[in-house]
Amino acid sequence: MLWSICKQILNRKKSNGWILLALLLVFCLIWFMVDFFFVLEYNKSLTSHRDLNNTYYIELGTLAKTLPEYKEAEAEPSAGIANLYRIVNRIKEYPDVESVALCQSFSSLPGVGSYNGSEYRSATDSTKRAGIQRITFIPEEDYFRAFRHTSNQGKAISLTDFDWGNPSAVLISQMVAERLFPGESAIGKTIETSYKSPDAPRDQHLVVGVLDDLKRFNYNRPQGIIFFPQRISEQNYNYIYIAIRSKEHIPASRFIPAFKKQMSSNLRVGNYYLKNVKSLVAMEKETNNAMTNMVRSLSGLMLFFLINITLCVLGTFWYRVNVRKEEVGIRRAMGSNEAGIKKLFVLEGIILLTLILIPAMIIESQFIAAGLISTLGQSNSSYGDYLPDHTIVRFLITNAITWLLLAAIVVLAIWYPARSASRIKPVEALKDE
Amino acid sequence: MLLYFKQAWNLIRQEKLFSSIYIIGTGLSITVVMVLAIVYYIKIANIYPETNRSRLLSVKYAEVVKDDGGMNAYYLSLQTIETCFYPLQGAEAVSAVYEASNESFVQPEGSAEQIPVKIKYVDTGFWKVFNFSFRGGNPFTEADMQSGMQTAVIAETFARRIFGSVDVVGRTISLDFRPFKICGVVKDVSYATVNTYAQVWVPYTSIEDIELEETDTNGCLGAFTAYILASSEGDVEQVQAEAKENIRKFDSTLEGATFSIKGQPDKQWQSAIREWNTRDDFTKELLQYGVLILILLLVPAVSLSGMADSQMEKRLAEIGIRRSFGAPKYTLMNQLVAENLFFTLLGGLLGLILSFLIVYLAQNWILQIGMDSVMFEGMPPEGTHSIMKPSMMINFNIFFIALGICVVLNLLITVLPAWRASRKEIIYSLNAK
Repeated sequence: MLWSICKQILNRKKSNGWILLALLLVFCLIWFMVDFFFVLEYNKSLTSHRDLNNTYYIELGTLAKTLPEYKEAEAEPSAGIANLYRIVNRIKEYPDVESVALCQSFSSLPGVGSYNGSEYRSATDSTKRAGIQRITFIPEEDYFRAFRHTSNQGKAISLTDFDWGNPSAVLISQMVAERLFPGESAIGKTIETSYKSPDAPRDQHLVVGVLDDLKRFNYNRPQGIIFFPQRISEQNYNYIYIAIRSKEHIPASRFIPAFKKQMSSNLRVGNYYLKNVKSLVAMEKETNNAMTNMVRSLSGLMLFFLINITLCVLGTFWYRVNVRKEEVGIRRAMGSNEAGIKKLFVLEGIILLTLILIPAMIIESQFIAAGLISTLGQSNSSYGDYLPDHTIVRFLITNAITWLLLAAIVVLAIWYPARSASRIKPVEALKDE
Repeated sequence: MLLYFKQAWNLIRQEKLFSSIYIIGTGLSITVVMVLAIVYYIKIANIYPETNRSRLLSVKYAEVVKDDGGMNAYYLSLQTIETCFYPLQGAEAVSAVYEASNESFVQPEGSAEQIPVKIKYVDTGFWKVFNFSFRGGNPFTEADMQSGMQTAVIAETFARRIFGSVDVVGRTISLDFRPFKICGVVKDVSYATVNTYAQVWVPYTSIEDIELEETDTNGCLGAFTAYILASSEGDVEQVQAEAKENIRKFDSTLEGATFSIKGQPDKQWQSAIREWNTRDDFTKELLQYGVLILILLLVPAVSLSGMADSQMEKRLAEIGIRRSFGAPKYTLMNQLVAENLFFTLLGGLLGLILSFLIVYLAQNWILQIGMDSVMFEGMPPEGTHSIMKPSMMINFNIFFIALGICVVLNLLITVLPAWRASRKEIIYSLNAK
């Protein structure tokens, strides 16, 4: 049967030429998108080793100097710091708050996508270096518990798990540890900045713990992080960011208005006031917005190409069935049943799709060779073993997915013409000529 | 011509499957291309209050590369705008605009509620570069600007929301607890016109904000974007060249660093497709869009050509008769192409309606199509309604673009099959079943 179908296809070179060309074009385009979505979903499936659910960013505002309520005395650094502590304590007393996290600079808040980092190296072997994102946390509160950070691929940790006796103590993430100290334990080792200004001594830090890597965007791979403890001081009190974790099972839509309502007057301390409360999950969503739009556009395009190929296959086979009425009639007369006729046409479609698989793969490999197929998230990890980096395996997987997707479409599109063909009465068909 | 359409109408009634596939196929293709066309039309055409976009130039990005290799990239400092753009000979007006990175809130009188508001910090040139229509009052004056007066222009719907009336000139509005006197009320600005979109516009001299200061040691980078209005459309290129020359001179005065604005100022269309790594000539971007549109037309063309081919083959007998009665080949080709144009136009109508629907339903994100994450504008603030105005979509320009696409798509689909059908030997055609 296969052989006879192949001969049939060969006999209808001209009309099959169009459908083969359309299938080839669409196969390559769909493969491009399938490949993109494959890498995207792969990256998303990697855990980010922290949990932003039920966490919120508490934004404080400062009164303008021109206002009557503004107090010059409260603007003194010592008063400002005292007010900040007062605010943190009042937040902790709010019944639905489980824990508080304090950090310095916006980029130390999780999920906001902001980046602040530099290159570090091992103090003993200066050839071992890595570009690392810096998170500066205030050790008076447990930043790690609040955001549910982990170590050893998932073990929950807290601030008190580490020895902070040394003033230069820092935590690093797994990737940094493996890049700077391959094959040995990083704990107890010293790291330093690669660049230094000529008039300052090089900063050296003692590693007291290793945490799991973090994802900066949920569509990227985890990356290296260094965690610095920093106490509140006159230099940094203006740059302190407050985040909290609410008790479980309180949705953001209830927590935020309730918190604002009850705490607005409570947090009006010195020249500070409560400006806004934002869910960190929502902020992360906004950070990922550019990618969300990309996904929307690509999905739209993919749907467009799939509908096009459906129409093409449907239309072509509709005409084909009409032209081949006599043939169907003879087959019926010779004893083929309805299912057999349907199978004949569906199989013909599948063979057409399979015929273009090799040419499509050749075209695709040209794009790969030309460097036009990028791998999402690859640029920020020169470390780790990720499936999308195995070009051949990924190529085979994505082509298989594309083939299956298009095969389903082809079967669906041929179904209606094939059914009408199988219902042809042999007598009518044979009378046709 | 009318005869062709009559024949086409008959064809629709006889060949329901062919005509519906053809109309849906072309319709979808036109939908997708038109969504792109409308999005870029909104970004590029003269739309209130940016009615002078055809002679508008903008600078939204700048970078400083230090001789020791360090790089800073941000917006422009006031100093840069004053030195390079204010003195431009061919410019009718120049404006410096600042957009705060954190949210602002309005405190309505007699209510504890804080209402988020979008503020743009502008100068007096802003009101000359852009054509706002004032419902009441006037823009703030040069004297207000010089003295740093807290005056504000507000949008009419926002005025109604805060005060319950548009007649609010002379009243005071509290922005982040600073009192601003309202000097003018303007017609609403849509989120679609991002250069001007806000609910409140105030002089940038009215606030003290660390963000307004220069961010690099050379004083080139800051928080401002610059808009330049050329005196006439013919002057745009000349102003562009003059601005680049000023930048070059400014750069040569800097020590130990190179200042660059990467080929800006941009015309409106350039600004709409600029990406972070765009070079002067935009070839990469134009090529990308060209390839995309080609694919969007080619895929349906190839998909439908095969079917058009079979359909014409079925009509070979008719064509043979016409030929034997003396119809020249090109008349027959014209007929076949024109008949299909009728279908394509029906598809075009369907596509246009669908594209309006899609743009309307996806108005919250669709304008971000193709926007680089660096130039990323974020999601529209909560409570932003009616971003799209009907006039942005339903106008002659859009109709003509749609018509043009229909003609091109129709030619792509039918020329080859029609050429083949009209070229067949008469004997063969007459013999065809």
